[in-house]
Amino acid sequence: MPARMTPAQKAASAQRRNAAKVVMNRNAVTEAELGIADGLYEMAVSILAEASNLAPRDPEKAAERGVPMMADTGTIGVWWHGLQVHGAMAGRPRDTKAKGGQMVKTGKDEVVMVVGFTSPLAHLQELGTIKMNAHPFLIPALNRQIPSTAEHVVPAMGKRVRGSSDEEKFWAALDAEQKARPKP
Amino acid sequence: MTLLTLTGAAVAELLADPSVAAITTRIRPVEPAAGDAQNAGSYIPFVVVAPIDAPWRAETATSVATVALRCYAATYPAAEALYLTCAAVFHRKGPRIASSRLGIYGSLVGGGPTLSNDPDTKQPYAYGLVDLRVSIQPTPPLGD
Repeated sequence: MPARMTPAQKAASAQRRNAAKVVMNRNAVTEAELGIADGLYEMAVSILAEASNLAPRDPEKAAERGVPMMADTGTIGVWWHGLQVHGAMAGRPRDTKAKGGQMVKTGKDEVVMVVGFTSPLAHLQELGTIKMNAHPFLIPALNRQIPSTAEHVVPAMGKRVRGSSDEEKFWAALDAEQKARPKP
Repeated sequence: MTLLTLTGAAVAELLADPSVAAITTRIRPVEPAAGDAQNAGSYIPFVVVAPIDAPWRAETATSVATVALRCYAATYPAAEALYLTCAAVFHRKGPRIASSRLGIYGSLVGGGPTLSNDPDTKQPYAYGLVDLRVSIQPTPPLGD
Protein backbone atom coordinates (compact mmCIF):
# COMPACT_ATOMS: atom_id res chain seq x y z
CA MET A 1 0.00 0.00 0.00
CA PRO A 2 1.51 3.33 -1.02
CA ALA A 3 2.37 5.78 1.74
CA ARG A 4 0.06 8.77 2.10
CA MET A 5 1.39 12.09 0.86
CA THR A 6 1.82 14.92 3.31
CA PRO A 7 0.04 18.25 2.48
CA ALA A 8 3.38 19.75 1.43
CA GLN A 9 4.04 16.81 -0.92
CA LYS A 10 0.52 17.16 -2.34
CA ALA A 11 1.07 20.87 -2.98
CA ALA A 12 4.43 20.18 -4.64
CA SER A 13 2.87 17.46 -6.79
CA ALA A 14 0.04 19.79 -7.88
CA GLN A 15 2.56 22.49 -8.64
CA ARG A 16 4.57 20.08 -10.82
CA ARG A 17 1.43 19.05 -12.72
CA ASN A 18 0.44 22.68 -13.31
CA ALA A 19 3.94 23.65 -14.33
CA ALA A 20 3.99 20.86 -16.90
CA LYS A 21 0.90 22.35 -18.56
CA VAL A 22 2.31 25.87 -18.93
CA VAL A 23 3.86 26.35 -22.35
CA MET A 24 5.92 29.41 -22.97
CA ASN A 25 4.81 31.18 -26.14
CA ARG A 26 8.18 32.64 -27.07
CA ASN A 27 6.89 34.16 -30.31
CA ALA A 28 4.30 36.15 -28.40
CA VAL A 29 6.94 37.38 -25.94
CA THR A 30 9.16 38.49 -28.82
CA GLU A 31 6.26 40.26 -30.50
CA ALA A 32 5.32 41.97 -27.22
CA GLU A 33 8.89 43.20 -26.78
CA LEU A 34 9.02 44.42 -30.37
CA GLY A 35 5.70 46.16 -29.67
CA ILE A 36 7.36 47.95 -26.75
CA ALA A 37 10.16 48.99 -29.11
CA ASP A 38 7.60 50.30 -31.65
CA GLY A 39 5.81 52.25 -28.92
CA LEU A 40 9.05 53.69 -27.57
CA TYR A 41 10.00 54.80 -31.06
CA GLU A 42 6.70 56.69 -31.40
CA MET A 43 7.36 58.24 -27.99
CA ALA A 44 10.90 59.17 -29.01
CA VAL A 45 9.55 60.95 -32.10
CA SER A 46 7.24 63.00 -29.86
CA ILE A 47 10.08 63.80 -27.41
CA LEU A 48 12.34 64.87 -30.26
CA ALA A 49 9.65 67.08 -31.81
CA GLU A 50 9.01 68.77 -28.46
CA ALA A 51 12.73 69.18 -27.72
CA SER A 52 13.32 70.69 -31.17
CA ASN A 53 10.56 73.21 -30.48
CA LEU A 54 12.05 74.12 -27.10
CA ALA A 55 15.66 74.29 -28.34
CA PRO A 56 17.05 77.75 -29.10
CA ARG A 57 17.45 78.54 -32.81
CA ASP A 58 19.97 80.89 -34.35
CA PRO A 59 19.92 80.38 -38.14
CA GLU A 60 22.30 83.28 -38.79
CA LYS A 61 25.03 81.90 -36.53
CA ALA A 62 24.56 78.38 -37.97
CA ALA A 63 24.88 79.76 -41.53
CA GLU A 64 27.96 81.75 -40.48
CA ARG A 65 29.61 78.61 -39.12
CA GLY A 66 28.38 76.45 -41.98
CA VAL A 67 26.79 73.87 -39.70
CA PRO A 68 23.18 72.77 -39.21
CA MET A 69 21.26 74.42 -36.38
CA MET A 70 21.58 72.59 -33.08
CA ALA A 71 17.79 72.22 -32.88
CA ASP A 72 17.85 70.23 -36.14
CA THR A 73 20.52 67.71 -35.10
CA GLY A 74 18.18 65.49 -33.08
CA THR A 75 18.54 61.75 -33.47
CA ILE A 76 16.78 58.65 -32.20
CA GLY A 77 17.70 55.03 -31.69
CA VAL A 78 15.72 52.09 -30.29
CA TRP A 79 17.48 48.82 -29.49
CA TRP A 80 15.92 45.45 -28.80
CA HIS A 81 18.22 42.77 -27.35
CA GLY A 82 21.23 44.72 -28.59
CA LEU A 83 19.91 45.12 -32.16
CA GLN A 84 18.93 48.53 -33.47
CA VAL A 85 15.31 48.20 -34.61
CA HIS A 86 14.34 51.85 -35.08
CA GLY A 87 15.95 55.20 -35.72
CA ALA A 88 19.07 56.37 -37.48
CA MET A 89 21.29 57.06 -34.47
CA ALA A 90 24.88 56.21 -35.33
CA GLY A 91 27.03 54.02 -33.18
CA ARG A 92 27.24 50.36 -32.37
CA PRO A 93 25.21 49.64 -29.26
CA ARG A 94 27.57 47.25 -27.49
CA ASP A 95 30.60 49.50 -27.88
CA THR A 96 31.34 51.99 -25.17
CA LYS A 97 33.52 54.00 -27.50
CA ALA A 98 31.63 53.89 -30.78
CA LYS A 99 33.36 56.14 -33.29
CA GLY A 100 31.23 58.87 -34.79
CA GLY A 101 28.28 57.97 -32.65
CA GLN A 102 26.85 58.05 -29.19
CA MET A 103 28.01 55.82 -26.42
CA VAL A 104 25.07 53.45 -26.17
CA LYS A 105 25.24 50.30 -24.11
CA THR A 106 22.31 47.92 -24.22
CA GLY A 107 21.75 44.66 -22.43
CA LYS A 108 20.77 41.33 -24.00
CA ASP A 109 17.30 41.39 -22.43
CA GLU A 110 16.51 45.08 -22.70
CA VAL A 111 14.56 47.42 -24.92
CA VAL A 112 16.41 50.75 -24.93
CA MET A 113 15.32 54.09 -26.37
CA VAL A 114 17.82 56.94 -26.82
CA VAL A 115 16.97 60.48 -27.88
CA GLY A 116 19.82 62.94 -28.30
CA PHE A 117 21.32 65.80 -30.24
CA THR A 118 24.55 65.28 -32.15
CA SER A 119 25.59 68.94 -32.04
CA PRO A 120 28.63 69.49 -29.77
CA LEU A 121 26.82 72.55 -28.39
CA ALA A 122 23.74 70.63 -27.19
CA HIS A 123 24.97 69.77 -23.70
CA LEU A 124 26.25 73.33 -23.25
CA GLN A 125 22.78 74.70 -24.01
CA GLU A 126 21.07 72.10 -21.85
CA LEU A 127 23.26 72.47 -18.76
CA GLY A 128 24.88 75.90 -19.18
CA THR A 129 28.48 77.12 -19.15
CA ILE A 130 30.50 79.56 -17.06
CA LYS A 131 29.23 82.48 -19.14
CA MET A 132 25.78 81.18 -20.06
CA ASN A 133 22.93 79.92 -17.93
CA ALA A 134 21.31 76.56 -18.69
CA HIS A 135 18.57 76.55 -21.33
CA PRO A 136 17.17 73.04 -20.88
CA PHE A 137 15.17 71.63 -23.76
CA LEU A 138 15.65 67.84 -23.81
CA ILE A 139 14.88 66.89 -20.19
CA PRO A 140 11.75 69.10 -20.04
CA ALA A 141 10.56 67.48 -23.30
CA LEU A 142 11.18 64.03 -21.82
CA ASN A 143 9.34 64.93 -18.60
CA ARG A 144 6.33 66.18 -20.58
CA GLN A 145 6.10 62.94 -22.55
CA ILE A 146 6.64 60.47 -19.70
CA PRO A 147 2.97 60.58 -18.51
CA SER A 148 1.85 59.46 -22.01
CA THR A 149 4.18 56.43 -22.19
CA ALA A 150 1.29 53.97 -21.96
CA GLU A 151 -0.59 55.79 -24.75
CA HIS A 152 2.33 55.09 -27.06
CA VAL A 153 3.40 51.64 -25.91
CA VAL A 154 0.12 49.80 -25.20
CA PRO A 155 -1.46 50.21 -28.69
CA ALA A 156 1.86 49.33 -30.35
CA MET A 157 2.10 46.14 -28.27
CA GLY A 158 -1.53 45.34 -29.06
CA LYS A 159 -0.89 45.64 -32.79
CA ARG A 160 2.06 43.24 -32.64
CA VAL A 161 0.54 40.69 -30.28
CA ARG A 162 -2.85 40.57 -32.01
CA GLY A 163 -1.12 39.96 -35.32
CA SER A 164 0.81 36.98 -33.95
CA SER A 165 -1.94 35.28 -31.96
CA ASP A 166 -3.32 32.05 -33.43
CA GLU A 167 -6.57 32.61 -31.57
CA GLU A 168 -7.00 36.03 -33.19
CA LYS A 169 -6.25 34.51 -36.59
CA PHE A 170 -8.89 31.82 -35.93
CA TRP A 171 -11.56 34.39 -35.03
CA ALA A 172 -10.62 36.59 -37.99
CA ALA A 173 -10.91 33.60 -40.34
CA LEU A 174 -14.28 32.68 -38.83
CA ASP A 175 -15.50 36.26 -39.27
CA ALA A 176 -14.37 36.24 -42.90
CA GLU A 177 -16.08 32.90 -43.52
CA GLN A 178 -19.36 34.11 -42.00
CA LYS A 179 -19.26 37.26 -44.11
CA ALA A 180 -18.59 35.24 -47.26
CA ARG A 181 -21.46 32.79 -46.55
CA PRO A 182 -24.57 33.53 -48.68
CA LYS A 183 -27.48 34.85 -46.62
CA PRO A 184 -30.63 32.70 -46.62
CA MET B 1 4.37 82.98 1.85
CA THR B 2 7.34 80.68 2.21
CA LEU B 3 9.49 80.51 -0.87
CA LEU B 4 10.66 76.98 -1.48
CA THR B 5 13.86 77.27 -3.40
CA LEU B 6 14.92 73.90 -4.62
CA THR B 7 18.28 75.07 -5.90
CA GLY B 8 18.92 76.83 -2.59
CA ALA B 9 18.19 73.61 -0.71
CA ALA B 10 20.61 71.66 -2.92
CA VAL B 11 23.29 74.31 -2.42
CA ALA B 12 22.74 74.26 1.35
CA GLU B 13 23.09 70.47 1.45
CA LEU B 14 26.36 70.63 -0.46
CA LEU B 15 27.70 73.41 1.76
CA ALA B 16 26.82 71.45 4.88
CA ASP B 17 28.80 68.41 3.75
CA PRO B 18 32.31 68.35 5.24
CA SER B 19 33.77 66.31 2.36
CA VAL B 20 32.62 68.89 -0.19
CA ALA B 21 33.67 71.77 2.07
CA ALA B 22 37.15 70.23 2.28
CA ILE B 23 37.50 70.70 -1.49
CA THR B 24 35.56 73.94 -2.00
CA THR B 25 32.96 76.15 -0.40
CA ARG B 26 32.25 77.87 -3.70
CA ILE B 27 28.87 76.25 -4.32
CA ARG B 28 26.81 78.50 -6.58
CA PRO B 29 23.16 78.43 -7.57
CA VAL B 30 22.36 78.88 -11.30
CA GLU B 31 25.62 80.62 -12.36
CA PRO B 32 29.19 81.17 -11.12
CA ALA B 33 29.94 84.13 -8.86
CA ALA B 34 32.52 86.79 -9.60
CA GLY B 35 36.01 85.42 -9.17
CA ASP B 36 35.10 81.78 -9.78
CA ALA B 37 36.02 81.70 -13.45
CA GLN B 38 39.78 82.07 -13.87
CA ASN B 39 42.11 81.71 -16.80
CA ALA B 40 44.35 78.72 -17.46
CA GLY B 41 47.00 78.24 -14.79
CA SER B 42 44.91 79.73 -12.01
CA TYR B 43 41.79 77.57 -12.11
CA ILE B 44 39.99 77.12 -8.79
CA PRO B 45 37.41 74.48 -7.87
CA PHE B 46 33.75 75.49 -7.71
CA VAL B 47 30.33 73.93 -8.24
CA VAL B 48 27.31 75.30 -10.09
CA VAL B 49 23.89 73.86 -9.27
CA ALA B 50 21.63 74.56 -12.27
CA PRO B 51 17.88 73.88 -12.12
CA ILE B 52 16.82 71.93 -15.20
CA ASP B 53 13.16 70.99 -14.75
CA ALA B 54 10.63 70.54 -11.96
CA PRO B 55 7.34 69.14 -13.26
CA TRP B 56 4.57 69.11 -10.65
CA ARG B 57 2.52 66.09 -9.76
CA ALA B 58 -0.67 67.68 -8.53
CA GLU B 59 -2.21 64.42 -7.29
CA THR B 60 0.56 63.94 -4.73
CA ALA B 61 1.55 67.60 -4.24
CA THR B 62 5.11 66.68 -5.12
CA SER B 63 7.59 67.45 -7.82
CA VAL B 64 10.39 65.38 -9.26
CA ALA B 65 12.94 68.08 -9.84
CA THR B 66 16.10 67.67 -11.88
CA VAL B 67 19.18 69.76 -11.17
CA ALA B 68 22.51 69.64 -12.97
CA LEU B 69 25.76 69.62 -11.03
CA ARG B 70 28.66 71.20 -12.89
CA CYS B 71 31.84 70.65 -10.91
CA TYR B 72 34.81 72.72 -12.09
CA ALA B 73 38.41 72.06 -11.03
CA ALA B 74 41.98 72.51 -12.19
CA THR B 75 42.26 69.08 -13.81
CA TYR B 76 39.89 66.43 -15.13
CA PRO B 77 40.61 63.95 -12.30
CA ALA B 78 40.06 66.71 -9.73
CA ALA B 79 36.78 67.66 -11.42
CA GLU B 80 35.70 64.04 -11.41
CA ALA B 81 36.61 63.66 -7.72
CA LEU B 82 34.67 66.82 -6.87
CA TYR B 83 31.64 65.56 -8.81
CA LEU B 84 31.72 62.18 -7.06
CA THR B 85 31.97 63.90 -3.66
CA CYS B 86 28.99 66.11 -4.51
CA ALA B 87 27.02 63.20 -5.95
CA ALA B 88 27.51 61.21 -2.72
CA VAL B 89 25.62 63.96 -0.86
CA PHE B 90 22.48 63.22 -2.88
CA HIS B 91 22.71 59.62 -4.07
CA ARG B 92 20.06 57.36 -2.55
CA LYS B 93 19.39 59.69 0.35
CA GLY B 94 16.10 59.41 2.20
CA PRO B 95 13.59 61.90 3.57
CA ARG B 96 14.75 65.16 5.15
CA ILE B 97 13.55 68.74 5.53
CA ALA B 98 15.58 71.64 4.19
CA SER B 99 16.02 74.80 6.24
CA SER B 100 13.47 76.51 3.96
CA ARG B 101 10.92 73.82 5.07
CA LEU B 102 11.15 72.17 1.67
CA GLY B 103 10.38 68.49 2.16
CA ILE B 104 12.78 66.24 0.28
CA TYR B 105 11.40 62.70 0.13
CA GLY B 106 14.42 61.26 -1.59
CA SER B 107 17.18 62.02 -4.02
CA LEU B 108 19.04 60.03 -6.62
CA VAL B 109 21.96 60.78 -8.89
CA GLY B 110 20.87 59.98 -12.43
CA GLY B 111 24.29 59.48 -13.92
CA GLY B 112 27.65 61.00 -14.57
CA PRO B 113 30.24 62.18 -14.30
CA THR B 114 30.66 63.24 -17.89
CA LEU B 115 33.86 65.17 -18.45
CA SER B 116 34.10 68.26 -20.59
CA ASN B 117 35.74 71.67 -20.61
CA ASP B 118 34.21 75.11 -20.63
CA PRO B 119 34.11 76.64 -24.14
CA ASP B 120 35.24 80.05 -22.86
CA THR B 121 37.87 79.43 -20.16
CA LYS B 122 38.70 75.80 -21.13
CA GLN B 123 38.47 74.89 -17.42
CA PRO B 124 37.80 71.14 -16.99
CA TYR B 125 34.53 70.17 -15.41
CA ALA B 126 32.47 67.09 -14.67
CA TYR B 127 28.70 67.15 -14.88
CA GLY B 128 25.73 65.00 -14.08
CA LEU B 129 22.09 65.12 -13.08
CA VAL B 130 20.40 64.75 -9.70
CA ASP B 131 16.71 63.95 -9.25
CA LEU B 132 15.04 65.24 -6.10
CA ARG B 133 11.54 64.21 -5.06
CA VAL B 134 10.28 67.24 -3.19
CA SER B 135 7.15 68.73 -1.67
CA ILE B 136 5.52 71.67 -3.44
CA GLN B 137 4.21 73.08 -0.14
CA PRO B 138 6.26 73.97 2.92
CA THR B 139 6.52 71.22 5.50
CA PRO B 140 5.15 72.49 8.84
CA PRO B 141 7.61 72.57 11.75
CA LEU B 142 7.23 69.87 14.40
CA GLY B 143 4.59 70.76 17.02
CA ASP B 144 2.33 72.75 14.64
